[in-house]
Amino acid sequence: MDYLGQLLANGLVLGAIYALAAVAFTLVYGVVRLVNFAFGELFMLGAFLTASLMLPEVRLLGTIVPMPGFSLPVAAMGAITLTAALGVLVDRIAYRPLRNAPRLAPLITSIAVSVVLQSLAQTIWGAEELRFPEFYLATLPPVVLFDSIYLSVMDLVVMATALAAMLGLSAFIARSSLGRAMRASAEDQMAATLVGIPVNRVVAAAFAIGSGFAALAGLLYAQTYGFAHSSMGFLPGLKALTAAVLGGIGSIPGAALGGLILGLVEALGSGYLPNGTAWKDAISFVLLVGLLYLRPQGLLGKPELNSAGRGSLLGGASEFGAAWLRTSFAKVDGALARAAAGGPRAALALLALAILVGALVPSDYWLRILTMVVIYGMLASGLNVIVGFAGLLDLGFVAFWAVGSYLTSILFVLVLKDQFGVAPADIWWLLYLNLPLAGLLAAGFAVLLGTPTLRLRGDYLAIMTLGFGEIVRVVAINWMDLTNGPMGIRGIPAPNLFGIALGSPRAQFFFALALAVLVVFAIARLVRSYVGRAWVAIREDEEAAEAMGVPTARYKLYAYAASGFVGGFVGVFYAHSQQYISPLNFSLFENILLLMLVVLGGLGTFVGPFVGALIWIVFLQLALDLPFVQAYPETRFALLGVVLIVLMVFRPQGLAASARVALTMPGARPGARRVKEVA
Amino acid sequence: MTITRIAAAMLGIGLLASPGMARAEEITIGFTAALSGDFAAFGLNMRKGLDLAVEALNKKGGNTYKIDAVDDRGEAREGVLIAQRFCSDKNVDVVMGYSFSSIALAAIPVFNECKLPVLASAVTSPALSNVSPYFRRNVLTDAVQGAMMGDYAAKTLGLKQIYVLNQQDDYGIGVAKAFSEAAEKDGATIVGTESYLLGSKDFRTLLTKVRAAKPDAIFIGGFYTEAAKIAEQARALGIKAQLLSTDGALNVELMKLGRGAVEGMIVYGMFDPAVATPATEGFLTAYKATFKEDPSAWAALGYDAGMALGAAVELAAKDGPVTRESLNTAFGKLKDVPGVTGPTTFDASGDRAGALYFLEVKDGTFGLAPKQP
Repeated sequence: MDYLGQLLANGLVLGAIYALAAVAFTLVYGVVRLVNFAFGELFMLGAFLTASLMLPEVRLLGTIVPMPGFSLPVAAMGAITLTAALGVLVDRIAYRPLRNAPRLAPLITSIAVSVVLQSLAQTIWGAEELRFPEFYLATLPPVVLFDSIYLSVMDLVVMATALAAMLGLSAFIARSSLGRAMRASAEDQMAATLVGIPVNRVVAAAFAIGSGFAALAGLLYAQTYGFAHSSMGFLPGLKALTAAVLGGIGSIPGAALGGLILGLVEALGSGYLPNGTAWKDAISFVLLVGLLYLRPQGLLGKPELNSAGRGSLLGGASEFGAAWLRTSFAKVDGALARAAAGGPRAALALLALAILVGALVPSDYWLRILTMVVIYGMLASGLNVIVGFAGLLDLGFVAFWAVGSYLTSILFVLVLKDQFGVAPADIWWLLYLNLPLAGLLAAGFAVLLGTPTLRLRGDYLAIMTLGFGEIVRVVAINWMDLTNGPMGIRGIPAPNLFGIALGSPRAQFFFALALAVLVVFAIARLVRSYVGRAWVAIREDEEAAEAMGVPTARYKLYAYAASGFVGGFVGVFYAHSQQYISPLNFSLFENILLLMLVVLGGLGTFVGPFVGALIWIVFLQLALDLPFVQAYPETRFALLGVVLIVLMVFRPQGLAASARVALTMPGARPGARRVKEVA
Repeated sequence: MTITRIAAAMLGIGLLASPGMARAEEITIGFTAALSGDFAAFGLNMRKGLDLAVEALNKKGGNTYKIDAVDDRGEAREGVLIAQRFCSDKNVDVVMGYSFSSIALAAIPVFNECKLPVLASAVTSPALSNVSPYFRRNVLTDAVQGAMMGDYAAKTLGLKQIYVLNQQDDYGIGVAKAFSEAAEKDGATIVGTESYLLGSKDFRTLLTKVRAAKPDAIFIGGFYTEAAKIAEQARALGIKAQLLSTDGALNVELMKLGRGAVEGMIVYGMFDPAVATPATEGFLTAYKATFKEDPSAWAALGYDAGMALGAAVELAAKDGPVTRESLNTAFGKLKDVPGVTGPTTFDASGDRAGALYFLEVKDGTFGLAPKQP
């Protein structure tokens, strides 16, 4: 009994914090229909700002800066205000220009904002954890209930604060005029504008309140666990998003309920399952995936909030942006458009160039880098199928990649070599069998995952796949009999063809290139077929596609499957080229990176993923030599985030956009419209 | 015939001349570790120790040393690329650093290819023993350290009921396994084992489970960030058991993060500022003067690795120019190079023998534990 009691108490404290952060997601989603991934980082900033304001001095950018040394309540108010202001600023810079763009655009910028804020926080506050300063109430002895349930005084304060903040917000939304305006904008933005509600100001208010709640949750979390750290917002942010979806996104009581349920499930799950603590993070995502199958709108959610979004992802982009920006892109565009018009000839010329480079580059180091470029280009191409062609955000793509890598490594090393003593060289052909096999397995997973999100908005696919990616990672770490756990799998044989070892960097480059030709060819055939046309129709306007008789559900599943197949397929080669894999290879950050490569190069193009991979991976290696980067390594990733935001706002179609496959009618293009206007 | 003779004669002159000229070599150290990201602290500390060693070596005159540092961000993918980068850069003579065993493991096939010697300082996985003739490390393996701690807990401290927690990675699993085996052999009972993911913050539920088992000691096989939180949350739940941890917790940050709760925790390590010997005196003063903080065990190991390199370079330079191959041979021949973590000699498996100190947190600093084996 005392065991259960203590677990419940633990769950309640955690649930209160999740609920507060879930309010941030739900409030902003309710008003602008945006899953703002950056709330996890605002949560972290709330903690850092509070801790800094409470300390007498703090080390920022390596120098000691004097600080006011406030007490917790004063510092908390200050931090909440600052974070709220920052939230509004982020909205102004990164989201408002995209208000009328399709959902995918701000979703991607919110991930970029997240990367920028986290990298900056690490640059400013350093890589070490910052101890959260002691507060008077935290030094009091714990409250002991029934002789066995321990709760600290601050735990009670956390729960009371969460309850008060939540009730206050509900009252505010129900009673105040701003709250009414918020509800009106949530119902119908167009109608709200028409009746004279300043929608932009209402949205800013929602961001301010949401960011304030995220900061409050963050500082309470930091207080409870005694620290602040630049990556601390990531997992709680995901959990809070999960809680918001559980409760029904857009509903404030739903957020509270979702947070509470999640906190309790986590506490009870890790308390009663064997080795539950290590599996804890998977529990909440399994809950999420399960719920989305049964009741996709969440416990208290309204189904109409989940209707599909409208508008082309890539269309209206070049309409805004400064003139000089447009003209400078115009030249590149012209050249690329001519090249794209060349079709197969241009592709063959590119291939010839790649072969020439592969044959002539003398340095093994650069060959390895180029191999990495090709691998990431292929992976990004796989992600591009779903993001760029079908217009759906997939944040669990690395899981398919991991499925492929693990399948081949387990078969080669753990089963055949360790169990049956078969030398890898004798079964070299298995690699070629594994390539399609892993592709099919990953495609199966993709369909399984995609199915429940079919009737839902694209955002849910993002959340669902995010959950799946984390589940696969946690399984890879914890299921040691299957995957050898965090120790990873060593001694994966290098590719081999009829007994000829292809282990040298040059051979591997050509192997990768051959696979890339296959992947790009297959994707190109698919995209140019009726399947690809259906995808693009869904991307441009799902409702219109549906009305024109495109069975959108089926084609979305095809897109999931195709993208998963590429992930698994490339994963097999990746494992053999690295010769060692561990769960460390397949973090969510890799997925974000792939997404950035696709956006950088150009969504919905064949060459874009490779352009993105080439630019980024080569830049990463060159940047290693800059003294500034050596001093502040995080800034590389901050830069990537900034580039991405700028691209999404000014040129969402990416650098190589004019190489995009023309599958839409000329009349539907924004360029044509502009010509008409000018005329 | 004559030509070869002339050539041989010239070669002979060359060989004779080279030691006489005592050409100063420039040694480039390729340093790689996680220098950013969540686990940057280990790498940054190693770097500070190595910097200090390089400064001392350069002051000594003769050969000069410089560091080419590359951040691996703790990502396995970077491991292979960075290894190839060092391999292809003909100036790099030796590679040092490494925060994660998994990254070192991924890089080793590449180093084998180009015969570049590696001297790592913080990777403790037993999988790295005997892995390559070019790989060495000056830190003891988890298996050795964990077993020593297990003996210490059961025999010296006389603890009977021990609950084992470990961080779910090669380090935590290895050290916890060795600890449990040694402690059980010496008569203690392991009343439970649980693992947690690196980067976990909330241990209350885990500790509720621990509390129900009523152990008289808890062993935490993990890093200081988690050890501090486990200690704090354990005390808040009313657990009074003796806390034990590892060299991963031996870091001044432990006391900053854990405050009063880590008081009395016993950890082990190959170095500590509290253990003053004549050998450590100079290092301590220099380190404090340069970095305005106490050195951690990782800084000490980084420093010793630098000193071992200095000794190997001198040894290699005796027989001609220093190359990757001659440096690798010299590493194998090193004998009792003095250092702040004790003398360094590498055995054939690439590991090193050494002693552990058992340290107790007392009044916010590490000090020698009152009971030593």
